[in-house]
Amino acid sequence: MIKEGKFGVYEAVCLVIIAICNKIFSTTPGYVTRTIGTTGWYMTLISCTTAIAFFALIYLLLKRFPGKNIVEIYDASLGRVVGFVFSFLLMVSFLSSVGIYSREFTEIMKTYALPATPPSVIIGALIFTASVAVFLGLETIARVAKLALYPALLGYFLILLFSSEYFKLHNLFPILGYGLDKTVFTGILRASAYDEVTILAVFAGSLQGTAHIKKAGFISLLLSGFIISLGLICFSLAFGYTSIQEITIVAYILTRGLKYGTFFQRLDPIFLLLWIITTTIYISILFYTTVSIYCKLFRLQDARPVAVPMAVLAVSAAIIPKDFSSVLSVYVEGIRTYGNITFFIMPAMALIVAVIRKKKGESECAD
Amino acid sequence: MPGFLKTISDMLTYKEPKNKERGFELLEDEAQSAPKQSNAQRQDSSGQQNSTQNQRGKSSRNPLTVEEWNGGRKAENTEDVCQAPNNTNIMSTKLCENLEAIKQKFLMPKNRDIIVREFRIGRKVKAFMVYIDGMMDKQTLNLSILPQLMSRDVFEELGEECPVDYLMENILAVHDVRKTNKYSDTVMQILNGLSALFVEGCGECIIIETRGYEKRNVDTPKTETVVKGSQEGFTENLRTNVALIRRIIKNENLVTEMLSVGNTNHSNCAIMYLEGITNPKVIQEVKKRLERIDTDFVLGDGMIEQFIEDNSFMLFPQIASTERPDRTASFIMEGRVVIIAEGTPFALSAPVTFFGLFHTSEDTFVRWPGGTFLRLIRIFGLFCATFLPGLYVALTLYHIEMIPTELLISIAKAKELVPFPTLLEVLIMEIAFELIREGGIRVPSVIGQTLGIVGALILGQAAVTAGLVSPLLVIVVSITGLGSFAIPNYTLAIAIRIERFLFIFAGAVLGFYGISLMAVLLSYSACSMKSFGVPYFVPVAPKTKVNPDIILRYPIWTQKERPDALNTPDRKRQGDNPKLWISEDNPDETDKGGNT
Amino acid sequence: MRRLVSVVLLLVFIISLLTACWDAREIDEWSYVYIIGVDKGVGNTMRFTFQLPSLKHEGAAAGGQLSATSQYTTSIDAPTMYAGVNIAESFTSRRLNYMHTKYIIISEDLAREGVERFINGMVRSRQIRRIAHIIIVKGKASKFVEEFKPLLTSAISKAQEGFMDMHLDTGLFIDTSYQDFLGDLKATTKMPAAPLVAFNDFSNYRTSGNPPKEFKSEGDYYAGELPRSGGNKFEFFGTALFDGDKMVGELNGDESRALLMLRGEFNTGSIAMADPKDKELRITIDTKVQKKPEIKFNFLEGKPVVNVKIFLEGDIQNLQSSEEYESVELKPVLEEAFKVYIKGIIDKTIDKCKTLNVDVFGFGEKAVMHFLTIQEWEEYNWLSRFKDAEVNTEVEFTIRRTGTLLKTNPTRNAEGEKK
Repeated sequence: MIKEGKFGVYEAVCLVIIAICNKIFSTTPGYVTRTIGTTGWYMTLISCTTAIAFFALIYLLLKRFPGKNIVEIYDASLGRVVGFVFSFLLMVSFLSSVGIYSREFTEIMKTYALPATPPSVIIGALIFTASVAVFLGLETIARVAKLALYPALLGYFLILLFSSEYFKLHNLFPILGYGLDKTVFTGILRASAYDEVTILAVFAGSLQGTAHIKKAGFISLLLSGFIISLGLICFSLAFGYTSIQEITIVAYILTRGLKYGTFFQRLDPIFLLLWIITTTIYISILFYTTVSIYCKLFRLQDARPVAVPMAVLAVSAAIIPKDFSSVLSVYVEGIRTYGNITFFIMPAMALIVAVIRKKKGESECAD
Repeated sequence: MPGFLKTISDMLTYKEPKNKERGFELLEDEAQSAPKQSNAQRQDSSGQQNSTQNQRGKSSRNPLTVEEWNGGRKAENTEDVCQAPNNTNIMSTKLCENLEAIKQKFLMPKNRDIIVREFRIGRKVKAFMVYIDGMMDKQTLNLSILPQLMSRDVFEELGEECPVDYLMENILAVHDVRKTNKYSDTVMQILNGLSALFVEGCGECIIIETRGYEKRNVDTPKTETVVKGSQEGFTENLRTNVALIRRIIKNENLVTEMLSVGNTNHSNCAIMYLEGITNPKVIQEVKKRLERIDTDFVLGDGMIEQFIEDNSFMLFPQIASTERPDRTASFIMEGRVVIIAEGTPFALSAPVTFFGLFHTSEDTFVRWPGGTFLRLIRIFGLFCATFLPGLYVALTLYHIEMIPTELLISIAKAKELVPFPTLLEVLIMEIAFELIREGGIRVPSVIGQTLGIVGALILGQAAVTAGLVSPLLVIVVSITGLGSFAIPNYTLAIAIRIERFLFIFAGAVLGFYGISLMAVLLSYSACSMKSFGVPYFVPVAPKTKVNPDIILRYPIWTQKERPDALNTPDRKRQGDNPKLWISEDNPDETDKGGNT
Repeated sequence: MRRLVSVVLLLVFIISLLTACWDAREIDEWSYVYIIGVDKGVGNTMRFTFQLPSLKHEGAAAGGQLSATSQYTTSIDAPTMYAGVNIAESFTSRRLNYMHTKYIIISEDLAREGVERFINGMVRSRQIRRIAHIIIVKGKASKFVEEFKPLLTSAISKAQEGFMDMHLDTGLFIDTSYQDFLGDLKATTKMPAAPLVAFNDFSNYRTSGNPPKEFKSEGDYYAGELPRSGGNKFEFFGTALFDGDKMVGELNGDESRALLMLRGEFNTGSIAMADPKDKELRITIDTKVQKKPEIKFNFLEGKPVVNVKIFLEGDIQNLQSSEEYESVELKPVLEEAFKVYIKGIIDKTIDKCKTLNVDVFGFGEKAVMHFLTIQEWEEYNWLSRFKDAEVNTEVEFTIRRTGTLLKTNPTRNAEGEKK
């Protein structure tokens, strides 16, 4: 089994928050407005609640097998073959998240900042940094996540604060959007926006006990829900529902609109700096999770030789879509719609099967 | 050709990592219950060092030349009884044998430094003293040793037993005498400047402390000047340095262990720590690494640092080096281990964290608003020194929207005359600046001052007028240089100067994207570092107890505990109410000021 | 051998990165467009005009001294803007860059035909900023771009911002950014409006004649009619009203002030009115906004009713009579007169907009709060019902300070105190 370091609740929370909240900077806030209109901010709270419910199930599963990570739990409760299939599907989901998000990020970079650079260079540099992280270990990523979270959050809140000159309360009305039923349904379906909390299950061995996992998971879900909801409220306040549907990246356009006097204008490259750093850490942690699941699946001792081939796979996954529209409408939507299955429903199924078959892990000796 | 293919296949195939351990880790739960070092072990440690040294000393002894071997054999043939005992470290009781042994070991008469003074003690007993001319204090020899030994009434009773003990207890009026029966020990002590007294009929010799060589006076520190603080700095002499620290920490638990590093030059090295406050595992690790240095010669602490640090390939330093005794004392008080080597006026301290490299003693002597302000300026200097040229390149090449329009037009106008692309311009200016810095160290100080200021200004102005660089770039490069001067630790400053070029290239290739990626890569490499088991970015990442002294310096009465990451056995530094005078003066205002 | 291989690999890597820094463009490879003008084209669909700075060094450039920036203008007939840019690059040595474009000037006849075709398309490029100002010009946009040579400064962008910032000081025209314009174009609650600029041929500046007897306020002009001489040839005055993407009407200076007050964007302005006691004399009040207007929206028997209350405060700037308007007895008289005056202007503006059926004030923003879902709101279609709405306005006004004089004593001449 590969050796992974240990990290505490604080760093786990920072890691999961970066992983989940990075989505606020992508195309999803604008895209999802087509279905739900002005109600983005409480739709995401519904998603958060659903995710908390599912995480409670995951936590129960982890509590049943203390000290083991999700691959071992799948093996123990579902048997070797089905467990292997489940873990493999989980790994494929993470890998596709990496690939599709890298592609989305690259397309946005090409639209706004680096139009002439070939996309393979941008994707390649990103995945290269992620593979360096695999070589250096999990503790490194957790520590850098903690270091980077403070300035990122500060920058985020400053952007929201300074764009408050554009906020108009009436943009939130009509308050029910296209209908409450659509909002609730989309909310439950899109709980997959919070599915990165499953990385806590993959690294359960590094977290020093299930009480830590519980704290880390719930605190990070609550905080991410707050951060995403705050962002969506500000986006809705600044643009009306008709405008926001047109825009590719709402957060970037919001930053472009900051204008205080003749000097403080056009400050969006600073936003770029922030976003690139959080995206890099996001891709690193998801990539590391993929490599880690792979090593745990095949019981490898060392993760390092797996990194380079997995990087090649990730880059290939990123180059599959032909153009940006298909990335958005087919792949991203696909992940958001079906992500629930691999990340939330599969552990729930494993829990039910484990209860039925009365499988339990050995309790940890008092050390 | 086959070598080429083999190399490629070597690079592509997987090899098991040789180092199975994860390196030295300082873990929490074992700190408190680690046993203290026993007294016997402590006192014996110096003896142990010598015995391990013996093995090395013997193995690296110069082989005898043929003439010397023949000369020895000739002496054998003429039945002269005085020959050096073969292959043994223990002294013989015969004086002439000891003399021969000493002469062989020091390669006399070729070696003119060693003086052998033969005389009779009390006009009766034959004896000789060995010492190195220039390293001993002639006064001590001439006034305190030779007169006492040569006076007529030394021996009331002359017995057959060896008079060494009698001499040590009654005759020798010197402050430090020891006896030993090993040649290797004697040789080391003589090389260090002490004198050895051999007496006829004794299998032991007396080592007398007579060190007195030319050394530099205690002077102001050259590299770390402060405004408000002590103006004493270390010198090259080990004893003086240790004494400077002892003057600040007057505690009986302050331990100085002596080691010898360097197989051939046997340089002395002292480890200082506070017993009971420093984590014993750190001490063991430091000693282990120092003892295992297997090299020819070690000139000073710079080379020691490179041998014992954790990651040689990272740019950041993992051991702090300082020239000031007050800073060294504060390191010891926090629970770190200090290593002082002979030959350089610097002391090393381990373990160190990234934020610790930004502290100077000025922050502690100035009140807390001043301390915080100074630290913030330094951090700003760090950012300028690292990022500013890279940001300039990225801004002007990729993100011109961020520049205000009027500034942009004036930059564009100025750039009309410049024939170079921006990247080349920046590189020229940066390299020229580095040249000025490096050359300025060696210019004789009479011209040095004027050359620095005037030279830089005129050079910059001339370059602008000649149309080589644009004026904004001169400002950028000067601010970068000033920023790197603001970093207190010299090694870190050099590392930052190197990193600056990485950022320039990253910014030139991919703009802000490249700079962000490079910043993340550097953070990855920095966060994966450990310095003697303590992660480099503690207490920010990973999180330990709040330390009120990282960047912002809180008032001094809030610093109640030692840094958490060092896992010291004794955490408390201050009592609960360090400002006890407030509550004593005003008994009904106990909550003001003291409790925070 | 290992070292050789590593060095070769490293060189290959570095060189492949540096062969083309694909996006790096030196500063002097761009030409920065200050203003874009859009006209109806003659040779092709549209006519685009660009103003570019000329970065030549005129005279001796002794390192530090840089001569003033001069501009040059070029006009092209093209089907769309980016096609036009491609044509333009046939005769410029640099690429055109719009990141610093601050003004997008649209000519009035093009605005009356509809701006939708190009307004949506321009913002798709990453270079056009949404903080650029949209301005409608009476006449030809190309003429404006050519004549835009500010007299007070050679720093063009400062002048551009300065011109638009004047609306904060006077309220006689509004300031619309591309963001606002585009948002209002698509919004279901409001119609867009844009500032007007026109050329003044100084013909209104008559050298002989008598001033009018009735009160003519300072804002009672349309753009281009100001009676002045000297200064820049163009003037910003008044507002253009849009129904969707077509320009349908025009407001003069006073009505622009009213528009700003109703939108809650009025900042400050010196408003002159007739003295209530002596119709020949004038009073100037330095008006500021007390707080945002209160707009209440109700449905009375299915008909929308809007009640607007505007809160203003002011300092007396100029009294031409020696009546003691600062005293406690006479101040309410002044306040009342001012309220009546302002209410008159506001009502005139609202009626004008109701006739044109354009809700530029944003009353729809309050209406939307009465609906629960977007489908209901879009069925109601407020924008078509504005002409039927009943709007009641009320003005609250207080005079806070009186300047540096507490009292104006009458002048005395040979006959004694002048009344």
